[in-house]
Amino acid sequence: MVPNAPPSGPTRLGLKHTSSGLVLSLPPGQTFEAIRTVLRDHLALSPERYRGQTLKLDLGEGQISLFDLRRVLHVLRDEFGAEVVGVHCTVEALQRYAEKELKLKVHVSAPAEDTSAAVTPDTVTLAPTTSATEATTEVNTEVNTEVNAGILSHEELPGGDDMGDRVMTIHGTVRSGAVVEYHGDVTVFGDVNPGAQIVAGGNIVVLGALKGFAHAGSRRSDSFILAFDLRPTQLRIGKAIHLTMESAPERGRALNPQMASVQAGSIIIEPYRGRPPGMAMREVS
Amino acid sequence: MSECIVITSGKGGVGKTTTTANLGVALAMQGKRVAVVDADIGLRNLDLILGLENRIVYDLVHVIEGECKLRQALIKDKRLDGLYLLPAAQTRDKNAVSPDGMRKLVAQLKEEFDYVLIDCPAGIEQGFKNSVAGADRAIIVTTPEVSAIRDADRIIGLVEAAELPEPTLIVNRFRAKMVARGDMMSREDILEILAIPLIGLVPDHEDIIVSANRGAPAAFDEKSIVGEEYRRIARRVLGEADVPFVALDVPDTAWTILKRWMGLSGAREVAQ
Repeated sequence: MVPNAPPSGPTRLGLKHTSSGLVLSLPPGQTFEAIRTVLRDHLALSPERYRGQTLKLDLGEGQISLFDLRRVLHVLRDEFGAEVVGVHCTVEALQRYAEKELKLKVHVSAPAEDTSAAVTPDTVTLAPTTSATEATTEVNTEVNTEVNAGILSHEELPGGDDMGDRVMTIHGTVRSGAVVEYHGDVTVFGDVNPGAQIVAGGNIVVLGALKGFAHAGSRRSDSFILAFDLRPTQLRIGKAIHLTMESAPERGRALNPQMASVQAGSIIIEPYRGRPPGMAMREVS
Repeated sequence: MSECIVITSGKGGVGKTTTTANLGVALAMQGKRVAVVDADIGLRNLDLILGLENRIVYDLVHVIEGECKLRQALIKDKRLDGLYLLPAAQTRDKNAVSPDGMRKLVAQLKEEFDYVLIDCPAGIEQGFKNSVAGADRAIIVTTPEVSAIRDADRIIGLVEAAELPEPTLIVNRFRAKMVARGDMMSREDILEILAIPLIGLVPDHEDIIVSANRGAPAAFDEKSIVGEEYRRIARRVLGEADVPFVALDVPDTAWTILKRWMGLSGAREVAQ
């Protein structure tokens, strides 16, 4: 095998326009040269596209080395005029980066009780120099938390250090083109319009009409999707995909909450009877 | 206090330029000083609709690049005292202007005018960003078609992300008869998705094509129902509440004409 040959795998850059800014995800497992080539190809058509823009990098599992990451930042700044103002990565990746810098084993402490600091990296034992991208780095502890600036808000609920316990709440309409990704549960106080995407590690609850795309349980396949008015373009739970039937039911004024969950490997949609799946047994006893 | 309003839609061909021209005319008819700005650089149209094409000497890009003074580029409409057009450049493209340049230009225009209306190009790229940069609020134009509605929804999200206040909506090419037959999305269907205040319901009418070809916006025409709706939109933009929609007026039938003639009901009744 030729040394330095790029490992096989996706060579696409993920570029997401979220209203909080551009998020560029690097293709995983690529060398710096490969990433630079992909970047140059991608931007060859409109090299001025990112000039003066600020963007965030999604490091995903954090397979890129710190050295290469710095080089990517330089390329983005010097060749494309884009300023990287933040990175997204997993706690594990952050831990790995820290270990590489410190040459010591890093233990992630449980979050403090203080809810306002629920996701601040204070509790992760890190020396300041370990942050991957110098002073501008903004570390969002876990996976992406894309928030549509202005209309969507994001709260961390106290209690439990299990990521799945956390809920993101969104107030207002999630409109076409908006992408909401969260590692925990997502609750929307409003509608999710066609063309919008919600991807949650846990459950999705929409206190309004769900007309867009929803993917629950990207981390837990026992998740459910609940909406007051369930008319999605597509539903996914874990690995199961549900395409909506040809004729969506006519818009009715009466509330008809429905819930989608996985039963025997496929998604079942049924009227919501007041309890999420798995709750009934416990309640009875 | 002057205000800058961007007229945008996402999708092309839904009537942004027609709306800008007519709203500009209607606001000027209310005695306001109005500048309409064509931000569709490279594909300029607003001058045609207003019938001012042959008077362009300088354009928006000249002003921003400092090649001429703002006053030199503004074209005064002969028919109305308070109406001016700032045309787009035809030989350049959207990248000739930056959001900062637009912001400065709008600030300059706002010193002289009560209303600055920006005709935004279709799409969500540079042209849109430029147009939104200097605006205080946005009016979204759509037609009762799923594709236009979808794009309008996306644009509303982007307008909110740009930290402008909640935009208002004008639905263009509305056909009450088709809605009654169930063949077209109704006002309720549209508002259910977009969920923003409706300030205009413009009937689909051949007047618009005729007036565009003549370069005399329908709002000038006292007899045109489309022009009437644009005049009412101007009143709503100026803050007047409860101005009924032309498209929902009860049509004249022999019976209502007879009733009016007999003095049984004064003005034309309005159905909401």
